[in-house]
Amino acid sequence: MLTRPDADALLSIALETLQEDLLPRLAGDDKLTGLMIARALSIVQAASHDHGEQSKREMAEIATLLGETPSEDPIAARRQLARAIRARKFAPETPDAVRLRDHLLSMTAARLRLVNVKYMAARQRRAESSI
Amino acid sequence: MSLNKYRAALADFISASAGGAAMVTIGAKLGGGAIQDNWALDVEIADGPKAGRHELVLRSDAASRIAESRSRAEEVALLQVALDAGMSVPQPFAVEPTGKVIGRSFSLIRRLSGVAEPRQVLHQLADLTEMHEAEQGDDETSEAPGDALAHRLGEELAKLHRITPQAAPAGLAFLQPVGADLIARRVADYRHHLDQLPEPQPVLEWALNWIEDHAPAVDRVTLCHRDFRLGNLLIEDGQLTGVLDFEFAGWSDPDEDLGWLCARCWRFGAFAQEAGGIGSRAAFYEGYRSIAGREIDDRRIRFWEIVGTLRWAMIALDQGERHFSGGERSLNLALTALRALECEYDLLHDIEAFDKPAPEKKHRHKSAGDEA
Repeated sequence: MLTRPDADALLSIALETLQEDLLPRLAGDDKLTGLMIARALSIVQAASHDHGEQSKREMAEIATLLGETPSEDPIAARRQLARAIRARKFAPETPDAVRLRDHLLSMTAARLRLVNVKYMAARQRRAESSI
Repeated sequence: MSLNKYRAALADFISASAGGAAMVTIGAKLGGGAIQDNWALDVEIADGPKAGRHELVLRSDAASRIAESRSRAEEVALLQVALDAGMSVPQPFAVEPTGKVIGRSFSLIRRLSGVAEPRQVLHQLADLTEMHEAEQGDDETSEAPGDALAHRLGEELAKLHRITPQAAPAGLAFLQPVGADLIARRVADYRHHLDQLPEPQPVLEWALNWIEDHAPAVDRVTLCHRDFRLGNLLIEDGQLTGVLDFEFAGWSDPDEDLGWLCARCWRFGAFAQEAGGIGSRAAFYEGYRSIAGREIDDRRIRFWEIVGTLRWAMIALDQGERHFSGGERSLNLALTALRALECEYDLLHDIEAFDKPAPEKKHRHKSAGDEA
């Protein structure tokens, strides 16, 4: 295990170097590629701070929604939930349906926060027409 | 893929199809093609019926493609029909469907001026808006550049929507017919598609249930572009110069096209400009109404916005699979897969808001009746 620098510190300085030293000197397609790399590294950095907490919460919520213990594999558990949704196990306008939407929203928001928090902020500044 | 090594083969092909000796100069690869590759091509034809200089675009399939996209020959047929309907589209020049000339099928179309890249278009409009505001002073009746463009886009779509299956040109026989079960079939197709993806998508399943439960009756079917949004529109000085990319076109509910342009995922962050991030929804609707001659049911458009958001989520996931499957390794494609999260977030909010009327807001679009 690396400690000084650890993986997080290395990632942090790599991203900083890319953004402050390299990107300002790039132009055109190279700049776009550089920006994409910076974005990918930022997402990795944000995701590395999660330590599996999000996954544990998701599994617990899926267990409550399904009324049973789902598979230990998060993807398999999510698949069980997807099948239950398609099978219409959550009737519209019932407390179960509200709980389902709350779960989906909180999980989506948590993932989007890692990927594009600016999108969430912009979306929340509503300024739209009535027609 | 480099085109230069095919220069002689391209010259032979163009000479044969144009009926005159052709000299070909291969220009830059053009942006904007996620599913197709586009190159600028300058052609000098010495003699025959097409003698002269031709500024063209060569459009070929990219290294990997997605299932929904049409062949180059079909796209050329659609372009010709759109041109005949009075739309601003590039004129087709030739099509090579066999893949024997450059290793892939391709089409040649006239090159039009303007930019398609959404950020460049939005910057262009921002500059024009600033000038407009400085010039207009107290005159609040003149139309903002973004609204003028949104109005024009409405007109353009309405021209395409005049083409119906009942009066379809023979060249469109390849299009699959659709009927009143259009939305039910779309839901079934999307569920089938979800089953092919490697990971489950609970939010998209949830949205599909909602779409199935809230589908309006489909009583009007027309030719639809099905990808009418910034990125596929050439703009110069705030004016539309061409509608591109008919690769998803087909018979559908015309409200699908209106909803696609207004869907939040195609506003490029300019959320308040509800018509494609360009201008007001009112201006866009008014432009459409002025040619189509029918009232627009805003609720139907918003339903189709939700369908559009779901569809873009699935396309984004497909784009990611082009990378993950090894067909075309690309950081851009990998990052595009994450755009599906934005769509899911929008679906969860927009479906809840569907039944809640938004507060009244005045808009500044000048309608025809305001002229008096």
